[in-house]
Amino acid sequence: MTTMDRKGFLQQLTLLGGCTLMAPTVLLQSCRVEPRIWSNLSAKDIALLDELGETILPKTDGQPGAKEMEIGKYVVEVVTACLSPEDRDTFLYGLTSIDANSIADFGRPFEDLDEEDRYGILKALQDEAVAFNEKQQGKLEPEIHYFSLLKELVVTGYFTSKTVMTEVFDYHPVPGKYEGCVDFDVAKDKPYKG
Amino acid sequence: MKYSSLKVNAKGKEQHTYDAIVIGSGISGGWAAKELCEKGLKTLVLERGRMVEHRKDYPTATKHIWELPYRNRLTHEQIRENPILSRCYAYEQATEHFFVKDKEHPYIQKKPFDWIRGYQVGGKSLLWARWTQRWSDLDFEANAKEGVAIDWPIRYRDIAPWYSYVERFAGISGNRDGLPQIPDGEFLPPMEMNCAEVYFKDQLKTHYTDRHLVISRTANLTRPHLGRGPCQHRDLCYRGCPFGGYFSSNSATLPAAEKTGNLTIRPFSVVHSIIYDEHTQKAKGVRVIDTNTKETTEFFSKIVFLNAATLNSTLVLMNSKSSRFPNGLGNDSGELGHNLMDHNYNARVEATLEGFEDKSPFGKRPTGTYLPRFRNFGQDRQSNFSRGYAYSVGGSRRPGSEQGEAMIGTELKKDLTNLGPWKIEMTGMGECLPYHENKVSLSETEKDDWDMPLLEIDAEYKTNELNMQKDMVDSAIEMLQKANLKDIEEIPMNRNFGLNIHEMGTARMGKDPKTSVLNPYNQVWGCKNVFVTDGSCMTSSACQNPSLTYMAITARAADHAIKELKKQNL
Ligand SMILES: Cc1cc2nc3c(=O)[nH]c(=O)nc-3n(C[C@H](O)[C@H](O)[C@H](O)COP(=O)(O)OP(=O)(O)OC[C@H]3O[C@@H](n4cnc5c(N)ncnc54)[C@H](O)[C@@H]3O)c2cc1C
Ligand code: SF4
Repeated sequence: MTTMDRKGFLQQLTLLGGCTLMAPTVLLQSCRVEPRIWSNLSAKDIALLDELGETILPKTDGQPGAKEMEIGKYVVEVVTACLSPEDRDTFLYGLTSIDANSIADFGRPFEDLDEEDRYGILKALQDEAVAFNEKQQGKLEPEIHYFSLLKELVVTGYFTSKTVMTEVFDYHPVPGKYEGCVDFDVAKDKPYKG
Repeated sequence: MKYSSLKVNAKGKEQHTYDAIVIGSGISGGWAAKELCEKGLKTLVLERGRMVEHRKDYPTATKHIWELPYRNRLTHEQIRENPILSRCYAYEQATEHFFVKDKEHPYIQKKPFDWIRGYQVGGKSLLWARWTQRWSDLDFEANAKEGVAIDWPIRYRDIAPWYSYVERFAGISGNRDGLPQIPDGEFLPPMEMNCAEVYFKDQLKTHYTDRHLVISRTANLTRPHLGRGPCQHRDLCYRGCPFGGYFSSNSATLPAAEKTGNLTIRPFSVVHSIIYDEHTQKAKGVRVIDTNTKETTEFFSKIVFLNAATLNSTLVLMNSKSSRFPNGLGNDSGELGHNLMDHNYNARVEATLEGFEDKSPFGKRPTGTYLPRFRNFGQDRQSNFSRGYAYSVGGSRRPGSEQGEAMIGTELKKDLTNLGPWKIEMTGMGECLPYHENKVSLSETEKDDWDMPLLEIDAEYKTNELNMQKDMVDSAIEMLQKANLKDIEEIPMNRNFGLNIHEMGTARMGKDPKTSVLNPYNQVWGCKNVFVTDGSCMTSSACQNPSLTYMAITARAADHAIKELKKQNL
């Protein structure tokens, strides 16, 4: 995370990393809006996760966005049940960072930003995650960047949801046959899913 | 032996007497049951797990992914509770009910060994990947030619008619490729190869004389077969198939056995040991522990087929002690428990194929392609390892590209809703030699809930396997390079011994009772009415998936048993 070059975020991160427990008071002093600190996920986080998801996979012409696929609900469930405690901590730290980041840079939490600023924050994190992951290559126990976790959850949840599988793809759960090479027109054909 | 703690119920001996007893209802036990029932023997199948009825007991078979818990993802709790099982690729929410959980059935690992099991009617036949290449004399002659371990007591000509026999019933799809290292069989129409695979096959033909890519022979029905199937190409077989589209005991052999009226299946029945009769020098029956009541019952029969899968069959033999066989039934040679083998799959390479952008696969093919052995075969000679390996090869084209890893927003969405490039992945499947030191034994101190000693497993890959592994990676890279694939990448693999789920050996067949446990017809030396016909009987491991060979060996042994019974030799 050291590649972060945006000053406000960096300051907040230092605060967070150094003193998570006493952070509320410290942060209260330094910010107008109180950043949140996550130690678990619950239904109250769905709205934020929906917006994060929508920024990663937005609604486009003819295709639903992640929010419509109830991505927030999915992420809460999977983070709670399926992630290892280490990954869950990384994920929660990530939410805390994103919130701090957003408040530092814009004075408002992520949910209240406009689309462009949301995209800006997550795109910067995406670039950071790419750089971070490159550094992990060849390491015996590679670490994962929280944004990669978030993105993986959003992508998996979105692409396993009913509407996306049945409407965005050519979904045939019982195809009846296998053909190795059918014609496929990128411009107009939907990819097969089973 | 102590049974004092267990109540022995010997009442109603007649009620408990059958012509034949089969221990285990998986791939090999299902075949034994079918053959013996069809030949008119009243047959009791003893199965330690629960009943799984074809179709009725496949609760997830037609579930969409969004209907499964966590969209089919394992929970952290499941992974934490099952470190061994969760290394098996087929363990997921949709299949979890067919797998043994780590804590339910512990064993002792002297060295890392992943023992993947399915304890239910049908055993692992519900869960297998159904790849079914025949073995050849390249395999059956190898030990003798190299002076390794002992010679197989059979050759391809002994088993070939039985391969045909089981293939005709099981229904094996495949192409007649004319390759001596994987002899052709009785095939249903082959499944199709896709663009990437056809391209790679042609490239191999251009650059080599000894590398052939073929569609894997697979126990999926490409046309209706004996009232089963056809396969609908959904690739969800591990959940059980509502169409009966693939071979399992539940869909095929057990219903055939049942149809004869001669079959009794008793689930929840752990066979504790085989009862040896010192006077007749034969087995008179088996001791069974009811998993629910823990009560012990004895069942009697003229012949016993032991098909509890490799390691459990050996455990039952080891646990069947008598004054004649103080070290386990049939263990005069001291070889019982030794020569444990698996395959070595620790070689994987992936690559990208440019082109064919206007083509896509349709449907989900429940198999892949197969590149049969070429090392130490024909003109090829390797100096730093003996035997050889095959590859499983898969061409695919799925939504999403590498570039997506750096994208978010509409750009990412576009990437993930369009097809990415064609890919090819190759996984080496290497033969393991039979080493005396790779072995299992009974714990002297620890027992399970059924009063059976825990199994201690002590096996590892050795120099031959590891040298071969390096060549599996290098040759895959070389072939993909010659075929002009891009982004060729080795995926490091570190699968423990056992995880390839082809555990074999530990009660090997041979010609000499001094060096083997079973005779050439799978009869226990010194106790001829006990037949062991699962993977424990294997004298070497070849590099092909082994279960078709277990089926053929079982059908052959059952035929022999019937003939011997008729001659009153048993
Ligand atoms: C994911 C996966 C993929 C596979 N892919 C392939 C493949 O592509 N090709 C291939 O050839 N093989 C494959 N295999 C291996 C194949 O499943 C086994 O080789 C095969 O099932 C072995 O048959 P079996 O009869 O020996 O044992 P099983 O099918 O395991 O059946 C043994 C039965 O005995 C019962 N049992 C055990 N102990 C006792 C006891 N003491 N008393 C009573 N009953 C007992 C068990 O509950 C079980 O039902 C695969 C396996 C898995 C799990
Ligand atoms: S792929 Fe075929 S055999 Fe497998 S579950 Fe689907 S229909 Fe059944």
